[in-house]
Amino acid sequence: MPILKLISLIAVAALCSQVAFSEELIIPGSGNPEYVLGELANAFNASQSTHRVLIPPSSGMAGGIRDVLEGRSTLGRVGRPLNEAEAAQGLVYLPLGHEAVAVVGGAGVTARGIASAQVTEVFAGKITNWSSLGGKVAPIRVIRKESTDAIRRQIGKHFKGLTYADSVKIVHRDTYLIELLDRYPTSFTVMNRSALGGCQTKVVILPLDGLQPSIENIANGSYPLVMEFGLIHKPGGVSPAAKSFIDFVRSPDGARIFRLHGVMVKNTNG
Amino acid sequence: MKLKNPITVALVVLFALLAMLSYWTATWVTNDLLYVSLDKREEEKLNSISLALVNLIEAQNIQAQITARLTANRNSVGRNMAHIKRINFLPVIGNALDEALRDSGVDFLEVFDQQEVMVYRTQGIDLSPPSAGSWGVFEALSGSPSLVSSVEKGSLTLRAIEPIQHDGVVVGALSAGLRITPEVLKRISKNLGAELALVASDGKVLAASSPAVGLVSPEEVNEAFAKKIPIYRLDANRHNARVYFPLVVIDSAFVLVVDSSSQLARLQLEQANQRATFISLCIALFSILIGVIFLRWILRPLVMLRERAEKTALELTGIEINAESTNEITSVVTVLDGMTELLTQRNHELSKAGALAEAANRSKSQFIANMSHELRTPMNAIIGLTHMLSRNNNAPGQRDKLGKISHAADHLLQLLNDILDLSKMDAEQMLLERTQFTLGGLMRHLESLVSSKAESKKIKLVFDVDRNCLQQPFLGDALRLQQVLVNLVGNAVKFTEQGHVTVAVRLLENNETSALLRFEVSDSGIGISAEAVQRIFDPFEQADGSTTRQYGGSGLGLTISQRFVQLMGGEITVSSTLNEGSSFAFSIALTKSVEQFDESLDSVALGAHAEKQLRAEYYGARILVAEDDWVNQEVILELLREVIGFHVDIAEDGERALEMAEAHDYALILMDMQMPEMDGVEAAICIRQLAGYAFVPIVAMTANAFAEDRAKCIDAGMNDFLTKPVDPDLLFVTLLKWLAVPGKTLP
Repeated sequence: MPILKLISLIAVAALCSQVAFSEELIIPGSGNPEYVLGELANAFNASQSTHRVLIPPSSGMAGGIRDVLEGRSTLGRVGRPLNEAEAAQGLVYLPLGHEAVAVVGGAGVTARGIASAQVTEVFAGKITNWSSLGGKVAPIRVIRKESTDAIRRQIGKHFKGLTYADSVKIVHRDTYLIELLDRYPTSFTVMNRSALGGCQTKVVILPLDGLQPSIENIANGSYPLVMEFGLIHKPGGVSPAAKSFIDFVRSPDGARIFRLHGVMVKNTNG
Repeated sequence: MKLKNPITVALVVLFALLAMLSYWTATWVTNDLLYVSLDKREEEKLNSISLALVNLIEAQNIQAQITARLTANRNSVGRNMAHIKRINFLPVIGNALDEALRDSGVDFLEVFDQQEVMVYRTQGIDLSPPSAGSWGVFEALSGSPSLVSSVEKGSLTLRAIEPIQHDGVVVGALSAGLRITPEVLKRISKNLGAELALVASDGKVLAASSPAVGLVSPEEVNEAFAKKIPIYRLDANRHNARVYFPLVVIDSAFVLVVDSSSQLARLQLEQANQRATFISLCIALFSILIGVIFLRWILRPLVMLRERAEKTALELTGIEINAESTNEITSVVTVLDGMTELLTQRNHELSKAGALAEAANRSKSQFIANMSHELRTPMNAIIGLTHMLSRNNNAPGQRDKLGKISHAADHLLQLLNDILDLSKMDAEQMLLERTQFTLGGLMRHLESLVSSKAESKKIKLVFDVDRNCLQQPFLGDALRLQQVLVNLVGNAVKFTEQGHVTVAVRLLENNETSALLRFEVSDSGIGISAEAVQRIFDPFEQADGSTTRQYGGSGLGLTISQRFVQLMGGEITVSSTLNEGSSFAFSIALTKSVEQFDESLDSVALGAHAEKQLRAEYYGARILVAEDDWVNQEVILELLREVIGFHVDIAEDGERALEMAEAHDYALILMDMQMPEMDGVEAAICIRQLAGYAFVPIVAMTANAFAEDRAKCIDAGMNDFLTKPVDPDLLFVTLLKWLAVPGKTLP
């Protein structure tokens, strides 16, 4: 009888502790790492039952910062390292990995590569048809992110003197970018490699100057367009669920998923 | 209680202030919460309006898509587009499109040939032909319908583009277009209750429902684009809320600006605030009212205290406190101040009176001491000289006369002692001594003093003493106890003509440290009337005037005896029957002495015996006598030199005595206390410091006869104490005692 009581007590205690520590972790923020973090969240949720991680649609990096600062979320996702002004608000940045910014064509694109100069001319409206790039005759539907976007700033550094024709469609979130990519088979854009997983159609990665946006080329430094992304939180530690998720992301399983989506895992020591 | 009292007013004001503070705090907190809630609500409202507009545009797009699809599927349109190069198709297509436009709800319809060239557009729209390669036409010609947006002629233009097919082949494309013009936004804004503006990514206003909403800040537009989240701007002063809402219309990003008036909400909030203010003021007033009632209750004791204090102040100081200008506490404090001042003044007066009384007492004590000294000095001469004359006078007539002089002198001395004792008692300066004695010794001495008188009157003198306490050494004032008993027995003998006088001592209680003894002196004398018993212990009282005449006496004896017994902790009681006899009794507790008592020292050795022994054993011993009075010098020289045969040196004062002691070795020193230059006490202290004088007996022989004088002498290092007039027998006994036991100190 005493043993039974003890077992009951332990069971109740275990139940209580489980209830007490269970948490649904929502990680809002940037659209750039949305897809790959979503994949990681799915894997994490499948690997354990204590916590549940949700990666909601992009609210932009600013949305992630706002939600973390206002305490609505423990973690936020960001498509680039924090700048000085953002870091000064009292946020801690956890880098997760590096990935390539890829030149992408819609599912109907038959061209198999593009040079950096051609990219500039496409954005400027000087090259308007895929036939000029070795593909079938079809108008190039150019889509770009708004000018403050991290990718926009990244390609602005690489492609000097970049201008945009009036016909270039401007969107401000990755979800719309992917939607247009899917909608227009002859579309053209520049976007982060891991987000391609979100496309419903078979979009085409165009090697840039003959270089694939692969982990290897990132690692050896040959691919010119690389950006870093990560997570943010307030100082003073994170919730158990957040810690558990971060541990998972940095685990071998997390690294495998990252690699699968072209992300070079950030060396946590460096 | 009067409200005009400052303390009450202060507390009421305090209540009011607390109520106001509570109100202010509540308002502050509530307002903060309410305004934050209001702002949140405004933000949510703006968000909802923005989403509603997005949905409206979405609905318009769907309508345009339906229109485009239905129109493109018309056979006439497809057929004519298929044969566009062979026949004059334009009127037919134009008619079909114009007809389709009428009920479509779209702004225009246009068709494109297979070369993406617009071949027809319905009338009434001010637009340039779409440029080559426009979005959606190629896709439609490829068989895929599209929705595209573009900014044309400064307005957002939406197009639903559908392929036109004929016999399963795409022969053209049809576009159903909508324009988001200011009129469109005005119409929508009326339905949504907010002003709307659509802004392009470059900050250009594409359409605005009112001029005001069209005034946009490029920085805020850029911020909305950059942050990709709504940017809210709430202007509380103008009761206006604005959002810069980033959105994508079909395929392009824009910023929707929504202005919403929060005037009504803020008006409602202000009205709620006014209501809250009114209610709070009511609560504050109610609180003050309750507070005043509570104060009346709680201050009632203080008010009573104030009234009592005012009354007391009036009674004590004659000052009326002005109730109009002071509060309860100040009143009490004022009264206490007044009373304190009065008490301080009275204490000061009492202190002065006490000092005066003390000075008077000191003067009285000094007077008594001086009187004692001044009376005893000549008495010493009278008694001493009488004693000397008696010693060697064998003439019967002269001896008789000398005997009468001696008796008169003794009586005078007794009277003097009684008066001085009584004076000391009145001054509460009488101190009892604490010497060792036994009742056996005391009774024997008593018997020796009174037996001759009893025998002369043929009265039987009976001593009935408890045997258990006869040999017990006690500590107490044996002389005073003996004085009491001598007085009582003397009176009994005096007032008894025949029969007996009985002295009885009974042990009432006995323990390790003390014993309670009852002394009773009874006689078979004349007795005392009940009326006389009442005043028998009053000074100078005897039973009646005739008693004094018949029996003599000062009437001080019983008074002094009663006082002594009272000092010893007892009380003399009297029981008497006229003509049958009287009984005087008292009970006192005596402390037992733990030291062995040498009975022989206690016993009053007979002077004659001592005299003989001194003469035999100490003849020629060198004695120093410090005495300033020449008569007394003569008396003591006679007693010591002539009677005993001592070698006697006389010093006239203490200083001389010190010099002589330093110069010679003396066997004993007799020291007067009161002398010129240096008194006996100081001289004794100095002599004790001299080499060889540590144990030489120094015996005080002084007219300062009180216990405190004895204490002073003993403290100064003297060994014993004799009072003047000197009893020669006692002097010889004392000399023998100290010469025989050199260095012995008083017990």
